Amino acid sequence: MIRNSNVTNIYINACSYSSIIQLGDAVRADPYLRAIAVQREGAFFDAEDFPYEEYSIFTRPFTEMESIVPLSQAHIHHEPKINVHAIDMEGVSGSSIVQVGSLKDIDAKSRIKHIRILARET
Amino acid sequence: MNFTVHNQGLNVGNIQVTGVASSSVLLIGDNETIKLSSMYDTPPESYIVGSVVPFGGGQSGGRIKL
Repeated sequence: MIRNSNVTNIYINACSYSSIIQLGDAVRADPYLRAIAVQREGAFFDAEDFPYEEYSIFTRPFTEMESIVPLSQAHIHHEPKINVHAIDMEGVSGSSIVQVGSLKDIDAKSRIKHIRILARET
Repeated sequence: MNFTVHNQGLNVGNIQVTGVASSSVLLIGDNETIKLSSMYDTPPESYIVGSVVPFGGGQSGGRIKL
């Protein structure tokens, strides 16, 4: 039995880069972010110059859990409510999720990298 | 292992979060399974000083001058 989530006030300034603001229940979410983030001094470049395939971090497999531990649990909701008065957020970015409601399964992956290229001081 | 949870209601006043980023989740509600995986990685090749040969098949290979 799923509880009800009640939020009185919610303020989210921005929601970008395939992020989700969900009000209500959901069953499954598997957000996935790759990124690279290049900082380069004095040159223009575009995405093709830094393909994901070039870097092992983006091709390396994620570690997986071997086996799901058998677990028996009982949840008894005497008061089936989750109440939040106010939520104040600046940003939801990079395949992220803000949800008011239940979400059964989450399988989120993220990679990133960061490259800084500085011009040689001549 | 087995365990029983008795919920008497959950009340939170205010939540203030600057940002939720890179496949993160802010959930106000129930959940069964959560699996979060992340890699960050800034090895030596990530900090380059001086001339750079553009990697990979960038068609615009010749456009970059340092």
